[in-house]
Amino acid sequence: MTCEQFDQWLDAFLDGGLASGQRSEMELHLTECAACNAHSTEMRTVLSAATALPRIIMPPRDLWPEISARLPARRDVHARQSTLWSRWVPLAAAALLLITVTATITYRLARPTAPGPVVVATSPAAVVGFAADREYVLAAEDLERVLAEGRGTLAPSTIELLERNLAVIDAAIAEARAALEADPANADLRALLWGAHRQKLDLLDRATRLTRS
Amino acid sequence: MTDPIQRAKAGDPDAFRILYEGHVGRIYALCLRLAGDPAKAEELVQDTFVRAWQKLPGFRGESAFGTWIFRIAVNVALTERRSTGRREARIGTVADPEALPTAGRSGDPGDRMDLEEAISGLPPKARAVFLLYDVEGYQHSEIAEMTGIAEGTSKTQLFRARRLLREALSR
Repeated sequence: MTCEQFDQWLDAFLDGGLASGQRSEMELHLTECAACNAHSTEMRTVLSAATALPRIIMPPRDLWPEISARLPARRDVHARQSTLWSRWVPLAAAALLLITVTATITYRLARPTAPGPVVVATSPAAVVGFAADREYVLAAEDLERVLAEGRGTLAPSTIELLERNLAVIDAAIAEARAALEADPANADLRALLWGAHRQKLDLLDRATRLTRS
Repeated sequence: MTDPIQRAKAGDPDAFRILYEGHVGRIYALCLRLAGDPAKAEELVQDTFVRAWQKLPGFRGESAFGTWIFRIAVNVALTERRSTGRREARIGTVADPEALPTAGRSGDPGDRMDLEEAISGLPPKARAVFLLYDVEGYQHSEIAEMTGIAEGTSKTQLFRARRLLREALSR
């Protein structure tokens, strides 16, 4: 294999897209050519750093006021919905609470006593009245579903690490949520809760990408 | 109706603000890297959310809201890039690793700040493909669909971006 051929195949090699014969040729060349070996190592380092880049960066200032000023009105529809909303919100909140309580009781009654297969933890129920909390929970559930489909591709040690980290974040979410329920007007607590949610989404997002790589 | 997506679809800006708060970090990160400039990134974020608000009545929930608005952001940023690019083409674009920024280089190809800086100096198409594939984890077929380029072009641009970065970060 020439160095030029090695470079042509390097991307597919690093992405795991080569057939086993081609992979063996690449591995052999790596042992024979110090320059290509160094290039391959540098490329791995760059790609690993790219994967580790933060995928959430908050803007330095709140952009909402300018966005809000630019939103074309759809308020007529909203006004009609608001009337319905104010009429139905207590019932909806009660229904949500009932569903949560029922699901918890059902789960506790139905869960097996023997340890089952390791599963990725799911989010606890959202704070009633905080729609963003529910939106985060739904987004996390979306990712958890995708992750569950691909979890067979992950190494047991990766799953273990992932679940340990998710458990830590879930505990932080539960703590922030409990504090917020006791003090709903506290903006700092809300920011803490949203921050914990974002961490969870970021972790799930990264894990989902691992199942695809 | 407690779902902020449904409420925003019905025209409730407060519900849309909840969606904004939940997703602005990811959208800003993408726009910042695609634009390579914080002020431009803020404009792109605003345009993305305004466009999302306009298109929201047509959102059917076939993908997660985050995925949907991310695609809008890619589209907004690349459309803006195309119009800016036409102006910049008269001046010239960066295709030579020697021309990529080097200020503050640590000498470690894995250093995050060096990598961010080197990404910002990539030619626009190569930068977009690198970000979508290697940072965001999309496949070439998805990138082709999002950006309107052929899958083969996506692979070629990724090949180019990776080599430019490797060379820039190893200098």
